[in-house]
Amino acid sequence: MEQVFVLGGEQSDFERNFTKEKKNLVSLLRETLEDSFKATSLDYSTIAELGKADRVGVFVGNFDGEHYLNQGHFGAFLTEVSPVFNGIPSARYEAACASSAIAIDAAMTKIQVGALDLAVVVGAELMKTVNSSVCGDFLGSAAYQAKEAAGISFPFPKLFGRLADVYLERYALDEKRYLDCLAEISNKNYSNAKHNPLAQTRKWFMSLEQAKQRGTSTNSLVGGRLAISDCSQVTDGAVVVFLASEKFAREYATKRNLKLDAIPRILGWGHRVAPLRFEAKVEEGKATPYVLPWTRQAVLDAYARANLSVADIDVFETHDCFTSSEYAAISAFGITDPGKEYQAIEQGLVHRQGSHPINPSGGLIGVGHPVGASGARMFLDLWKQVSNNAEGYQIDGAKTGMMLNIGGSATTSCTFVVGR
Amino acid sequence: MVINTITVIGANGAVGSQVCGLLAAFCNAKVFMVSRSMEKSIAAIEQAVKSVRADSIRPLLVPMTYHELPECVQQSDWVFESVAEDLAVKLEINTHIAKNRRVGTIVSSGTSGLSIEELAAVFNEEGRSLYFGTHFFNPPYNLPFMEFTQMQWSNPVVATDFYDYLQSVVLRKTVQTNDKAAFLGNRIGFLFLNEVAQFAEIHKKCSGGGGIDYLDAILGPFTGRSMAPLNTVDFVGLDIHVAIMENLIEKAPEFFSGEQKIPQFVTRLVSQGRLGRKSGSGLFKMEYLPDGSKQKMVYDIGLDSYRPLQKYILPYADRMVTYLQDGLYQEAIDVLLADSSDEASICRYFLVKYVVCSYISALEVAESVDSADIAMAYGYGWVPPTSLCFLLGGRVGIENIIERDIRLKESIGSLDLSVLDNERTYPPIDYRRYFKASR
Repeated sequence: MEQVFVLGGEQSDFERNFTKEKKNLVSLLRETLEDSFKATSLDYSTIAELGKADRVGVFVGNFDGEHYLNQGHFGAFLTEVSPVFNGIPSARYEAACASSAIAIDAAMTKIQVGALDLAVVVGAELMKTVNSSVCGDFLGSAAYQAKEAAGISFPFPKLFGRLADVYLERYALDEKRYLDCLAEISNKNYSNAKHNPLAQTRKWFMSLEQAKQRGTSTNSLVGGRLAISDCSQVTDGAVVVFLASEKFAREYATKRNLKLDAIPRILGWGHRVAPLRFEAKVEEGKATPYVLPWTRQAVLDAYARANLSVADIDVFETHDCFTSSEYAAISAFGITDPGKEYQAIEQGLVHRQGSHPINPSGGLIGVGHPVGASGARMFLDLWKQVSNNAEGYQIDGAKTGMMLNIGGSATTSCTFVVGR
Repeated sequence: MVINTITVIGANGAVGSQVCGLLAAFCNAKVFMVSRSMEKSIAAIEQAVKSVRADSIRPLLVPMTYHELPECVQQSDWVFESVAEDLAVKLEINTHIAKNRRVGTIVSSGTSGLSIEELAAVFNEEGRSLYFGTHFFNPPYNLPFMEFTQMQWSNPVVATDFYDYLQSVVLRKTVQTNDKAAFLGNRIGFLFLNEVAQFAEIHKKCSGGGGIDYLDAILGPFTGRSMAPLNTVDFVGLDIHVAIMENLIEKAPEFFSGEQKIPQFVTRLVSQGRLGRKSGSGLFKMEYLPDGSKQKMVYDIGLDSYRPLQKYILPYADRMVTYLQDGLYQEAIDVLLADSSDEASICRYFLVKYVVCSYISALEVAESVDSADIAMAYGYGWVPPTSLCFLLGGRVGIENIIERDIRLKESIGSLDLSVLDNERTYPPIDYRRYFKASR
């Protein structure tokens, strides 16, 4: 199998509201693509040249364009950005909030088998076309809509509130201790986002005290024990990342006076799908030490393929759609045993200065969560970290990063290890 | 820099209360909220909490009155004055602060344009060395711009530390400005807004309407702003507009070469108490129709009465909006540059004057042209002037526009435009978000 190199890319400014700006999907894609060209010194002519030889493809992650924009067929949209994309194989990939991780997985596979030299991976979602209540309804289709979301207001906060309930019960955790840990996760991610110039919440206020004050008028409960501070945001955003074959990466490096070793590559990956319904997951998990065993397995798969362990990972990006999902990711990564995640939080291991920093970017809670783009955003942040390009939130000396992107109620779990 | 206790004087004002919330939240400091009455201070706590959406700051907010001002000041590391924009009132407050502050306490004023030197006069030497201008923009949680003014006698170490603190802890996008009327943001902004109002008066009868909504249609959000100019004036308040312009015309007359006057219709509306949105009517007002729906009305300068907004046919604007929807910014500006209509000509006139005024003001009042970008983007939500300069073709492009426009030639043709050659020191602010794809 061919190695897959990561040339980099860029994300849009997640603070922007494209609905308020009255701009459309083409604008979002064009701006993000051109920013990504600038970040990598690639350009339209690169696409045109490779396109002639059928050596470039486009892989677009998007979850719910049909609802948010009344628009499907996102795979074809780069042809609206530039005619150089005419004729280039392009398609949309969907796996709820893991959509763009699945797009990366597909792009990676094409390069691994030698079918492409360059893959343009796009993640995109415009969510601010509707209010938060309607948005919550739309997101319900990432669960088993008829059985888990129909007639329920904000179904996903409630599902991840259930995850909190299950954790408390399964591991007999002290409720206050557990909820304080979730508040610390929120506070950490908001704090980290202050250093990320493209984070949605970079100007917002959050503190540990505020995150702990659940049930107040400024931090109301939205899903069981979870409050607004435990939730990621409704976000407009896109990400573009370029993956390359060794041949293309070698030419790319030579033109820029780089050594091939300086270009990060995908070292490992995992992709597992758990039962769709949350209660079915819980039931299945009872036979294992983990509440979410398939998520843990996706992490193990990536470690095994990379021939690495948790001790080798310098930085983590995970899917904190809710604080309870980041809490669960701590043991899934192997930082602690399941049921002992609080130790990593209380000891500061997962903070930026800790031994296992999680979400130095700010994560979904801090950076924002345009659902179809979040997997690619995490992947891009791994590239930024291991190539020393995470300006403002760089983990010193990071050489290897691991990400976990989930879709639904941890139904689809996608992992990648990126390193040099 | 460690700041544990802050006194905000004028805490019940719109800006004062929100600054209290901001400081309690980001500084995690105890904030004495001083107003004329305890009721007002208690009510202001709700505004402060609401402004940063955080109940957790309540324990840090302490309602106070002027009776307790001496004790508040004595306990404070920083005293922020946010009372009415009146020199005599501010000097009286400063006299009280000067009497009670302990050595080392920083004092700052939120004035939007009064002289910091004059305001500092009542302090002793040590007090003056720690007296600064800290002009927040409203609403401060959403508009992070701040103008920071220090004087030649300021303590340089404290000034640097305080400036850094405002940036890193209070999360302000701060620029250092000289002690000049209206500082930087309002100098650029109000010069622009007032001249638009003057043009509204000149063009009060055009295209089946004219005046206020005509100019707003020409210079709408598609020209790089979140709100059309005269809508902005109505939102800010006509009384505020007049106060800032009077100050500017008096103290910086050389800047305008006598061009700027407050239009008669503005002073007429102010005298009638029609101050804008805050008073229910001004340049615009809402009218309730018999069916219960609302209709926005505009003040017709010629008729001296309100009429429904006119829908002006502006093909250049429609084409610009179409390009902007697709993220084609240069193409949108190119449409404007090529259009021969009167309206496009007026639009170009204002965009060019905005750029030129920004460069000149930034170098006169602040440190570099970057300051103008920061001021206008983060304080007004307008396109950063250096980016607009680039889109208009840089100095050469702007000189070409001036060459083709008799009004521009008369207005700024004699200026040395080499000022436009000044380059940014820092990476540019992303200008794209400031162009809205709407009229």
